[in-house]
Amino acid sequence: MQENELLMDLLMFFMYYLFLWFAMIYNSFVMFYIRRTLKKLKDMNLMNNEHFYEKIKFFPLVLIIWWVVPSIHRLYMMVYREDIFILAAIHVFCESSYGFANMMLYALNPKVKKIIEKKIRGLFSKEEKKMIEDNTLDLNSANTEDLNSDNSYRKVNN
Amino acid sequence: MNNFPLDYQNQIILAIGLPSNSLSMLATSFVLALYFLNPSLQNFPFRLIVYLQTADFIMSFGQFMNVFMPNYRSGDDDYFLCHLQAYICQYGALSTMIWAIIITTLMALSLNMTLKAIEKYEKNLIFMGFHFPALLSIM
Repeated sequence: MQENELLMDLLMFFMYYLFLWFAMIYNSFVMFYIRRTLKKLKDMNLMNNEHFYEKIKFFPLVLIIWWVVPSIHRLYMMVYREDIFILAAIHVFCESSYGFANMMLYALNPKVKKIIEKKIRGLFSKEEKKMIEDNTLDLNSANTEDLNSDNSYRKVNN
Repeated sequence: MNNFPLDYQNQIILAIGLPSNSLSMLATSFVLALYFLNPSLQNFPFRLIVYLQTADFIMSFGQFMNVFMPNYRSGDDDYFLCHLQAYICQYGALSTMIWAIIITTLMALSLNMTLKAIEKYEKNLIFMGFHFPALLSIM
């Protein structure tokens, strides 16, 4: 029975946690390298455009941050053969909410944020929409009046 | 906290796990819906995130399957379901990790290559991110 348990632990370790820790370490090193290289390129003024990195830079970091506690818990369980409830609870929470954390990052992207705002605005009722349109029309007319007055001011000055 | 009875602890862990899994599933579905409904988001970087979120969804669904088999420890009836759940969880988790590695690698590659050149390898990336963990999880 104990041999079976040991075998299962080893299998789980190799098939899951070894992969996870490799991913965490690899991501940390590569992210560090990318940051350093991009900084150098920016200092040399070779980097003017927004890089691919800027769009998705936090996604590999979430993996590192989100899986620290589950890793500690699993290691503790393997070494001491006992469970700490609070660690287990945090482990479950982190493991289950990983998708939510990724979604939060996705939603914080400026482009996605704009689209979400647009969609939420689209949910307004027709009357509210009309009110908003009227308001924008008023604002537009007010702006054109301001501009006209500016022009007239310029004309007088000239 | 360790002095609580085991059943009580399991209940608390289930009470934490199920809502967060449901939240994750909703969140990943939201990302997928947003991607498919907005053509302006359908570009390569966002597609990579969608792949990652699909893997997340599979992992969350695997863990959410606890709801369908509350007594799987007690009998042999749910033996198949239990193995299926283990496979789905393992597949989802491995796929998530591989996609995170792929995203990081592509970020590093994009320092020397253009996005269009990287995009050519998308099919290979999908094989690595979705098919490879499916084979690995069978083990």
